[in-house]
Amino acid sequence: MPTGWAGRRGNRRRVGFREDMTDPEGDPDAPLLARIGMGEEAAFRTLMAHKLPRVHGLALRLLRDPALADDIAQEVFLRVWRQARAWRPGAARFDTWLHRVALNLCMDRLRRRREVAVADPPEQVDPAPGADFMLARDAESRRVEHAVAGLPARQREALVMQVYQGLSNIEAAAALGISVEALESLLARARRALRQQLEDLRP
Amino acid sequence: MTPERFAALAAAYGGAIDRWPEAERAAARAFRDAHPEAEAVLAAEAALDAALARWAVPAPGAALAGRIARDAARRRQAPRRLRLWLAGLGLAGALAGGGAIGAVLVARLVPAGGAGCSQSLTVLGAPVPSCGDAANWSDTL
Repeated sequence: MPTGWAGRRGNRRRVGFREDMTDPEGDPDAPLLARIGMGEEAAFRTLMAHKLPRVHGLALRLLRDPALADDIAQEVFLRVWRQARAWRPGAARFDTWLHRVALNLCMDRLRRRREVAVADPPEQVDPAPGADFMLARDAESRRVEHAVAGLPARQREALVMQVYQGLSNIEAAAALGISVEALESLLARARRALRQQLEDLRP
Repeated sequence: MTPERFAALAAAYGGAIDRWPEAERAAARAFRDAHPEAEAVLAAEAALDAALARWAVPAPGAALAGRIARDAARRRQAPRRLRLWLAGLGLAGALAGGGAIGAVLVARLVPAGGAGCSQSLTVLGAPVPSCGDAANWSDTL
């Protein structure tokens, strides 16, 4: 079974294409993956044209660092390229696998960043890693970005998966490695916190 | 669908029933149509949805996809080349090592006076079996 490593240290989760995470019926990415598995670079580029913005956006929203988001996207797609040959239709949906790998890589980076911050604290404390970089110039966008960044990690991940990545509840739960009930709980708590912070942004 | 479940779904998934779990959408729409107060629940969550939608992130740079594709192409080739290189290195090493061992053995085991059978010894100093009788061979082990 082809697998990709994409987990947190100490709780590293082995992620396989064939892991039964969601209903793979009619996976729209299957034909493209089959071609990539045969070494078709054009198919790989086509897949990136479809998926790279989403993977990059996920990493950007979780890490808030464009260079790190580039690194994450690169690592994710290199895994796709290396493992596509062993991919078989009828297993997990590729998109779910992709999100799970990207998410786990992001969590690895966040953990490393926390370890560095603890081991070598800066003289001037930065209230939020990457805070000096504003993802958008728009003030309202920054307000939302900071509000989401202030959520507990799992709530933030759940919200990003459901709201910004547009995953279904089953896909988001699978990507997070939790039950649908746990996902709903995380989402409800996240939205409750954000509702208070973003009250004045409502139309 | 109960009022509690409807409220829980709205609280978790927002004000658009289209984004709710597929299995519960039909029941949720029926509940909304039958209960006018449900619209207020949806409207409150839709307002938060609209606020969240204001967070936009830039698209990845145009060069990123090209860089990944080039890197991928190199990585696929690398293992094959590496295997060939290692195989070649191993063969060369085996040949060189074999030659060196052979030279050492010849130097140590072959006396200066020649390779006469009666003077041939094993590395343990015992007579080579072919030069002694069968009984002596068993003793050398």
